[in-house]
Amino acid sequence: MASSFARNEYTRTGDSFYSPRFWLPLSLIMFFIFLIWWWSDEQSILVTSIEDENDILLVLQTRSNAESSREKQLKTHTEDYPEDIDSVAELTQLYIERSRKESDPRYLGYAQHLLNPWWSNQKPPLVIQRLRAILLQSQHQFAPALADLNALLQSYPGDAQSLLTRATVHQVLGNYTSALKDCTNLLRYAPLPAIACVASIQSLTGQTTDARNLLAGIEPQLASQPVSTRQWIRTLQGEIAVRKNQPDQAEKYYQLALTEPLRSAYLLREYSQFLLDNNSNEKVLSLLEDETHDDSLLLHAAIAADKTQNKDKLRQYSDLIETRLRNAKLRGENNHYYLEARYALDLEKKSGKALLLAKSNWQKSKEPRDTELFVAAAVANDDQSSLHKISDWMLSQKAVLPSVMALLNTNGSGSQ
Amino acid sequence: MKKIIAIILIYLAISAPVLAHKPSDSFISIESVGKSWQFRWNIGLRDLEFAIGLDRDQNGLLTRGEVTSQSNIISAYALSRIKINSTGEACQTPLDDFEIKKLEDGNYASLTFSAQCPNTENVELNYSLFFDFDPTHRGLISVRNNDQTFSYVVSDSSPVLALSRIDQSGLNTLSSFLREGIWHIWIGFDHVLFLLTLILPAVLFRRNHAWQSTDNIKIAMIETLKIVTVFTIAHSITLSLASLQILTFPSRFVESMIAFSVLVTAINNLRPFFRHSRWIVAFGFGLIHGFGFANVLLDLGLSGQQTALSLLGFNLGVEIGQLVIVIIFLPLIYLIRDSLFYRWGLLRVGSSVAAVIASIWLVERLFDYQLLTI
Repeated sequence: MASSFARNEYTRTGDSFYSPRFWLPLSLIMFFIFLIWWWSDEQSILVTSIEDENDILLVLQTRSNAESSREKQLKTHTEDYPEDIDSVAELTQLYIERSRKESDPRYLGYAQHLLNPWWSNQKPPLVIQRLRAILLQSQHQFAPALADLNALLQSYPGDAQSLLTRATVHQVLGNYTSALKDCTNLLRYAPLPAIACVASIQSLTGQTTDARNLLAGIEPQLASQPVSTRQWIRTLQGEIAVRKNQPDQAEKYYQLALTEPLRSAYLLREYSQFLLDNNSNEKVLSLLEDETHDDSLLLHAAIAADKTQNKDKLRQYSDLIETRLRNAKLRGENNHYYLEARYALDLEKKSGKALLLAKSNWQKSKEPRDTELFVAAAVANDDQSSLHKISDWMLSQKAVLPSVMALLNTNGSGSQ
Repeated sequence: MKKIIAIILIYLAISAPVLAHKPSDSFISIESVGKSWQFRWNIGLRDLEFAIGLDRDQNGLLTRGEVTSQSNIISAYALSRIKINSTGEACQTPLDDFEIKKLEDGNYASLTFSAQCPNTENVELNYSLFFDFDPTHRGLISVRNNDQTFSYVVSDSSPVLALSRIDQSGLNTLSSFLREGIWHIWIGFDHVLFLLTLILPAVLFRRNHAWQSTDNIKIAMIETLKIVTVFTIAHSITLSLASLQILTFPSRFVESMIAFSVLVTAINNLRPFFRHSRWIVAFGFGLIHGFGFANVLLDLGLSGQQTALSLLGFNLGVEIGQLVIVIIFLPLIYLIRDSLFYRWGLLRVGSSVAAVIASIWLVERLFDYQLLTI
């Protein structure tokens, strides 16, 4: 039994103890055993990251002491007296402003909570109804927002805030004629916002030179305006220059807007789209590096990563987009059609899916980018009926969007 | 007054709404582990700051120190806003761990806790975090139950989620336990080592006190499949007995016996004492290994009415997992059956290494002392 492995038995194939045929595989096996050993022990080998007490986890928007103590005071007061209209209105307005300043929709949620006692009232007090309309508009619920605004303006035709809000809703819905009417009515009550409002509509209806001149006229007053207003007007001037096909002018205005101490998502969205159109993709990537919390900006960053063949970034951004779409669907939100449609068109290259989504999106919202996306998806699918829909709408509202019309003309939608 | 409001709000109204942040969500992942539910709850620091005011020094910066020093306050606040009940009775939700996690849109407080319920029927989760000031807040919940993930959302208007109603069809149970069976034979290092050691000499047969190589892979394969199936039959018996709590042994004893089984099989390769009857070894030790598998199965949790299906699926999975190993391993050793590498490197050195590892396990498990990290 002791000699069960007789020497002649294992030497008969000609192998030798000293031959590489023996030692090579054996050392390989030993190596793998070592690897497994190391792998199972890696947790103790890996250096654990050192976490510093002073790591900054969240940067809060700095506000003056007066502002934050007033907010706290109102918060406590409205908790005790949730139906005290004056305090509720003041705090709601503070929250809406914060949601804008910090680009954070959760303040709209806080505001909605404050309006809860009147949320489903047919006829709430004027000040409440006005705030409710702004809130609904901010949440993209344009139909109920319009219902509130129409009711309000019926009773108080000179309510400046409501005129302005309704003009905005009409503009987003692509009703330029109605929007212009509201802007013009506003001139009597609040000239500066009214001028910006009119210029904005003009820039969409082919009167870009008039729009530019109107804004040039209020130039002297800009210095005294709040940062956000000035930045918004600079951005609008940039957009007008784009529509006039003056890229140098556009760049100039966008740069002016960027010098303001505020990084608004609206500005970054318009400017990065401008850069994408001019193939400055690297610039987009560095501009939006830390701005991917916003859907549109994330999308622009992903498109720039795709164009520069930056595979790692593209993967990272696409994963983020997919997570966000999944969560939005789970939440039951339906205001992500734009993101989903453009992601499908430009990155997933699924033009059929993109067309369906772009069409749904366009039915809800007709900002220039919505129309641009719809026309691009329609062209990709050679969908003449969609192209006709777009040109019919453009004719009825006298809309002039060079980027859209170029595509319409080359793809034979006859009515242009 | 109207005019002043209009000018203040100009930018609110004119520019179309562009909001940079995603809305307020918390993320809960729930896993059913045996009879309890394991929770991980990620809550945005941004939301917590608004709710409790974490920025103690009011400098506009929230530091790791500020958050960790208030982890008790955060946990107490959060845990009081999630109620888990079973048949109307409250479950305990003791906090296991508090961490800070970076998700795509910033840092989150990450709480781990389990729900310990008086019974396992009709478990319900009632969520009320932040609804007292934000009706647009949502809890996004993913429930992992036997390899499947289900997604849910809780909101102000529908804050309740029934957990025990998330049941599965028989087919799902069968297939998920089948997968678990395959997986557990593959990652169970001691079972794999036993199996490999057992089939290592399968391409040889004994003659005149010496190993002779076989020239018929078909016979070698059939012999081996028989042995593996005998092993499976044996462990199916004890696995069922143990899972149904009819016959159980302390796990330290079972684990030690498994180590012993590897040791004996390895020595049998070096100095054969079970000559022609490796299947007896396979059957005997199969009984032992079955008790080992049962611990895994109990960890996975057997759902009441589907016990039989779960057992069947798990046993089939283990059998499939083993067959895959045999089908890959056997032709390889058949090809090299005459080489010195096989006869020395694998059969003798390999068995010796297995014997050494098994001895170490045996000592560790018998005396509950850690020698190896594997």
